[in-house]
Amino acid sequence: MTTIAEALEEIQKASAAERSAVPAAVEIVGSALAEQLKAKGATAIVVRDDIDDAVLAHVVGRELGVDIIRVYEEEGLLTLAPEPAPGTRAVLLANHWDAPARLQALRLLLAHHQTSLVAVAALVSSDALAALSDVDTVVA
Amino acid sequence: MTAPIAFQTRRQRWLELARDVSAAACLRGDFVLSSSGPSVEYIDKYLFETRPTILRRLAALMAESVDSTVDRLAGRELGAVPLVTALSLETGLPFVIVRSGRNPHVVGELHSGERVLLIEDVIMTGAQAITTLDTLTARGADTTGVLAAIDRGDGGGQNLSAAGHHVEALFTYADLQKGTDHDNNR
Repeated sequence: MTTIAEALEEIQKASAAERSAVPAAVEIVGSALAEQLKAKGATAIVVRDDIDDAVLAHVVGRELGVDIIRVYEEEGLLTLAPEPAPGTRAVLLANHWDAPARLQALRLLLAHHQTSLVAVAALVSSDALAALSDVDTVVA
Repeated sequence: MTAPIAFQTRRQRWLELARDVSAAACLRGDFVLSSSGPSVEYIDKYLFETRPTILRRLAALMAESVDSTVDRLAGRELGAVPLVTALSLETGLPFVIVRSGRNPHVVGELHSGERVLLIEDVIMTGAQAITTLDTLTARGADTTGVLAAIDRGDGGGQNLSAAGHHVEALFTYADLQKGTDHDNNR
């Protein structure tokens, strides 16, 4: 497994089998995503409190040298931890964006915290991602 | 001489409970809801579910909507557990708890073919209720629908109906805001 396509295939197989993502594959794909995101000038990666998304965010955040901000969803409320600093330029990152409404809620959450959204990123494209026309999208 | 009024009608009990739930749990502030984004209003279910004087009356009124053919109640962890427990005590029906998350599963005794009614605290988009009903169905339950304390009015009722589930709520959010009811004159 040396190419991004092979790594993506490994991750998708693991996801379909409900296994944890293969660390080596996440390293390859996460690094490739970070490379694409460098030009966006992000200062934080915003990621849902999901174990697979967190692993991917760790790799991307490390490569970009930026902080990770987690989104917590509890009892119908969305919160960010830590709170973004004023002027934060964020990338919303997930393995896969599957629900447009959920993605929209996260965008509203960032706007509520006066945080600029510089890109929405994922391992693979999806209808929810493709529907975004007012923000840059990045896929591995 | 006029006889003293010893008992409240159902409507009086319902109105009084609406006022008490509203006073206890309808918060105003700065919130971001997962269902609809920023909001100045939020229902904190734990603020009414942790008060025995409210929980007891909720269970009594909701029990009237539990069909006699129901074999078992179900509640999703964590929020619906106090409510389903109270309803179980009120109706005498046993219940199961549905654990959510990445590995949803049912805890408690559940037999294939049992008619199970899902008890919800607050319906928002209905997505979690649909997932919970799917979990129950996968375990062999014959789900009869959803009975909620409150339907927030975020489309959850419609989404559940569209998915083929019967939905009933004791209160809408508008009921709690107004303390009035348009068709609850049983």
